[in-house]
Amino acid sequence: MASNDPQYQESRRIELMDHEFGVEKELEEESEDEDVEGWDDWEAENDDVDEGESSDTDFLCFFCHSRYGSCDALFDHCSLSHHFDFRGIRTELGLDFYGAFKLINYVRSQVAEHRCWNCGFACQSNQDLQNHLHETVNIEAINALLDDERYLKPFMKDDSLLYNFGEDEEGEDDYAAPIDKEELIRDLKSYEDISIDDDHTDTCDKSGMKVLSASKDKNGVSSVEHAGSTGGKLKETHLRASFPTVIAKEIKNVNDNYFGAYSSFGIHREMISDKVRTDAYRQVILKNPSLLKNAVVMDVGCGTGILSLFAARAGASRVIAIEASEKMAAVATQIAMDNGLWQSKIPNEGFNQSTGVIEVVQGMVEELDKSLQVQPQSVDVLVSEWMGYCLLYESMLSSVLFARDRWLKPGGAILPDTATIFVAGFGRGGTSLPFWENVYGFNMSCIGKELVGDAAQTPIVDIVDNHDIVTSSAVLQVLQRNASRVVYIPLHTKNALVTNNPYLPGANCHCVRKTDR
Amino acid sequence: MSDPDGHDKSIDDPAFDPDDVSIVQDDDKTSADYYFDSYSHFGIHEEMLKDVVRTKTYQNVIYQNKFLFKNKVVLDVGAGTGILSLFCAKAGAEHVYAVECSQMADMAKEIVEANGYSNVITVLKGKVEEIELPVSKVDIIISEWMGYFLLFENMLNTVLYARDKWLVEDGVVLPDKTSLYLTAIEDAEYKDDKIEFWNNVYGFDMSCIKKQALMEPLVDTVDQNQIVTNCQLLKTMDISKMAPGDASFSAPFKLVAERDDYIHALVAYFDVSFTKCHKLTGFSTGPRSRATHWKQTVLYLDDVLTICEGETLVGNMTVAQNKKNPRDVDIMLKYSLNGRRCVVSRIQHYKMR
Repeated sequence: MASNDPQYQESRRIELMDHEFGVEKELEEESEDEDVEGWDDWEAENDDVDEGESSDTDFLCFFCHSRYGSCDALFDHCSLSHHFDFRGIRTELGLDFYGAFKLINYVRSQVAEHRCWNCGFACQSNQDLQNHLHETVNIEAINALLDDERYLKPFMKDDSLLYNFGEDEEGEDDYAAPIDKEELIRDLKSYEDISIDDDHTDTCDKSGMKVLSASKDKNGVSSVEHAGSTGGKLKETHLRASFPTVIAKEIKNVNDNYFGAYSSFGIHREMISDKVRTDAYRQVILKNPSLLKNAVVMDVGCGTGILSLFAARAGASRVIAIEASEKMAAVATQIAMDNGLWQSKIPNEGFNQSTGVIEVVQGMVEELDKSLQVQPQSVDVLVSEWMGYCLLYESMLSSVLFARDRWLKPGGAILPDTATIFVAGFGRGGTSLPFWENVYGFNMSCIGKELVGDAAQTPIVDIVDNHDIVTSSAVLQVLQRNASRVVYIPLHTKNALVTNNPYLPGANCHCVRKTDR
Repeated sequence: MSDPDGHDKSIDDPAFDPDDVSIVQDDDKTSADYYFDSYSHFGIHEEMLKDVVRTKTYQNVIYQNKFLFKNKVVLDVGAGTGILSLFCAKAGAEHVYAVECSQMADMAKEIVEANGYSNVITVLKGKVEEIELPVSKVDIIISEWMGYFLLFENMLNTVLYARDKWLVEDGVVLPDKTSLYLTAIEDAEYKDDKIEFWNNVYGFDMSCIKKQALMEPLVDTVDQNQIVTNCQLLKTMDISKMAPGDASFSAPFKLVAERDDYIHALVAYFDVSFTKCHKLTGFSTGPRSRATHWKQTVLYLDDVLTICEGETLVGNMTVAQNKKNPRDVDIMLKYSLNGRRCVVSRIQHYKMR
């Protein structure tokens, strides 16, 4: 930017940019003029920008050549002189940080072409444009125009406005602050009557369920606001007949509770400390550079992000770590940052220099289309530790298959790609039947019977001693990477099990999975 | 091998229909239910029943004090499998009302029948705060309501509610006395395992989790050799007289080191007494007593304290039920040590969920 006349330099650059932008998008990549700095140069040079230096905090107006010492002053000026109320527009369109960022670049790009950012009218010159500018009309139409990745790139070189407009607002990118779950619950409660409980594995508190059944009795219309466990992105108020609403509420409640359960650290510690599990993933990821080096990796249900960290260490060029639990997503982000592996969403974000490759995305993988800056079928490696008890408990597999179908390149790798369920019969000693027959002199065998009879519907997760296994093992089901659907199969034992003990209460191991329709 | 009735269908069987969902009925439990209705999960009851200290003490209290139960009407709050009700019935109670809100109530009913006590024991499924008792008053309230750290799950309030609503004047509450204690331990190895663990996870720094992990009190067994100081009584409660609000309290403590050592954590435990027995009966869940399923509650300190014999760790512990969720417990711990080798003062918060 070394020049005697910064304004001349600026307008000249803008005119040259205009030339590029006047043509179709395909030509954007061509640098037709050596003097014109392309995007690559811009990226490299931005390293020199030091956010703290006062010489950089000098803001150029969108429309004219005026410069201001503060964003506020600039916005006031634009509002007064150019009918452009940045803050008002931002509020009206509900733009978050990235939305506002794009708005700035969008407007600058339009001004460069002497085009009205609002109505699209093309003027002959910058002065004409300034004369043309008018009160905002039909502001919603702008949203569609903003939905373009190109506006995530700074249009103007060293546009300090981009790094300062958000200064007044607190920590939009501050993932370090843990989500105040209580506040979240309070907010959600004010929208719905449902109380959202998590971590309630040890209580008899059924208030959540109770409220649900109460709402089922309501006839007619009920209003629901789907406040976000998916980060507030789904904010709609519907007026609907109560039944479908109740189903949606119930699913949401189940999801909230499910993801809430993963918020506690004990379970993550348990999983990470499971050496058989974690070491296996570590080996696969770190010992296969041909697979991971420079790859785009997606980690579905990342938790603390351990698999993503492995992938980053193995040389991935980009790791997209997806986590639906808000608290864990915040934790995963913090951990990635603390290990210098976090990639901010905005390339070359001035105040948060990071060289990392991991980006944490909070939400369910099925709902990520809006927020994910990833082309469908562009991921090289899909990694996930999705296995639940009996393999399919928790039904996380369907999420992984969804990610595979939507994001994974044809021929991309899934880790793991094969899973096998085995079954074997265990004898009486492996059950609690003997215990229940005599409890302090009382016969409680009906509980034992219930347990055994219910084994098909409420499987018990336990460790069975080797000596209690009384049959051979058989393969029940093998899932390959190209499983096309998750199927409802009552898995009865085939004839393959050989037993040496006629009493086989454990042989009816039922795993049921849901059919995709 | 044999399948004489042809019930076993294999997936090769043409009669097999993968879309046949008849095996699974609508009212079956989903994983959501499994996660949240765990009191109906039998494993917990097995664990509690197998806790000999707990169950045998109740059995002794009841069988060795039949005079308490003769011709009396008993209310069993949170009956579970109904074991306490069965003890009472066998000891000669006139009638027992067993209240249980989870699915376990159905099992309890069956058990009562199977053991021939249907005319003595009535099982009522529902919450104590919501059910109707066929009688207006009972003579005895018996309950095993104690949670981890004594107050977790907060079933105590339910017992007090029942007491205020149905117990006759001068009625008996079993148990009627309970006390909470505090002591300090050296626990380097385990703290390493549970907390410092996060500093280096496969070479990655996950220490940001540490702060949060510290806030979760740990339920675990403490070896009596780890104890560094005396055990201090924090609070005693008389369940036959106390008010519900009394379960939240703030109590000072002074722990004196009995040897030169390090302190990594404070440990809380409780004991329970049945004072109306012919001979005072009760049990303790402390580290010097026989193990129970309650184990002890460990509160890790941010600091590692270097304490010399005779030096004192002073402080205050405040316990309250969580406002948003009354079953959760909030603990605030203030401590300070002004010793030869260590000077520290801190406030820490814990949440039991």
